[in-house]
Amino acid sequence: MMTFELEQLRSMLSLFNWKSVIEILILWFVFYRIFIFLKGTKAVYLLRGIIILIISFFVFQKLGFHVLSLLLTKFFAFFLILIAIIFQPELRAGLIRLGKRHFFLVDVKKEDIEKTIKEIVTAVANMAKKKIGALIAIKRDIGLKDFIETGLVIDSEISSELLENIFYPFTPLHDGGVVVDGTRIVSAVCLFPITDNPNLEKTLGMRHRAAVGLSENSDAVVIVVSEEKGTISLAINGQLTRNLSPEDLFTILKGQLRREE
Amino acid sequence: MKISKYQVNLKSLVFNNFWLKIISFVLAVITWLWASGELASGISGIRI
Repeated sequence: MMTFELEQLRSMLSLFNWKSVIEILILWFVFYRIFIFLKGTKAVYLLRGIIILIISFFVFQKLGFHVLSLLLTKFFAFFLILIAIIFQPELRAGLIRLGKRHFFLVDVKKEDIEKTIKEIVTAVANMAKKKIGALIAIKRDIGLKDFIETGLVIDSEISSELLENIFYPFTPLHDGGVVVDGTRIVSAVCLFPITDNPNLEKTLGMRHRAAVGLSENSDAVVIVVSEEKGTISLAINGQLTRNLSPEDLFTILKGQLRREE
Repeated sequence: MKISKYQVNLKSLVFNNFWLKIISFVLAVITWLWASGELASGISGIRI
């Protein structure tokens, strides 16, 4: 048996050449990117379980536990379907990121982007001062039609006054999120998906969770003003950055919405 | 001793997510060995 394994190893190593190094490097990169992508999501716990099952399978095979190996083999037959079901949100987010282009809006001029940022930052700074809650999503490459349709279409030129007015407490449109596309406020009172990221602080309210949820499901930049503390937060790609000053927000937005020439 | 910007970048390149890099490397080597083993023996599928 030992001779057979040595023979097998020898024949495997006979296949080893410079192409093998490239193959291993590509595999390394792919595995690393998958791990990085799954880090901090609930899929990590499922991945751990799957890795334990795979290791168990090899151990059972080595020890000659044929029945258990057979059961695991049958289980692996459904493995791909199971992965597609279990990791559906992660797969969707991953494919969205894989297929997205790195442009803001082709038909929006650089000055218009700056104007949009200025209006948003002014409104956000004022609302943070007055502790008025707000949720603003800025569309980038991926369409937000599904979320726009849940709200009320406004389609108006952006202005800080209008934004502040929308979020003013007890007005009909103050609850929900606003979607901004280019220089226009497209829609208000929109419903955004709530994140189920277990690593988020438990004290975070629904507004922050909706911001993170939308940023997980699209490439939108989502700004939140806390009603409770008057703090400004920003959600991008499922990551929430909290306690930003209006100046920080301006700089980050400028970087994120930069139009590639 | 002054540490240059490139040294800092190199350090973060190596040590950022160090264990993830090690685990993914081990996994990549195991996967390659398994696949080349299958190729060498000419047997596809799982043997029991």
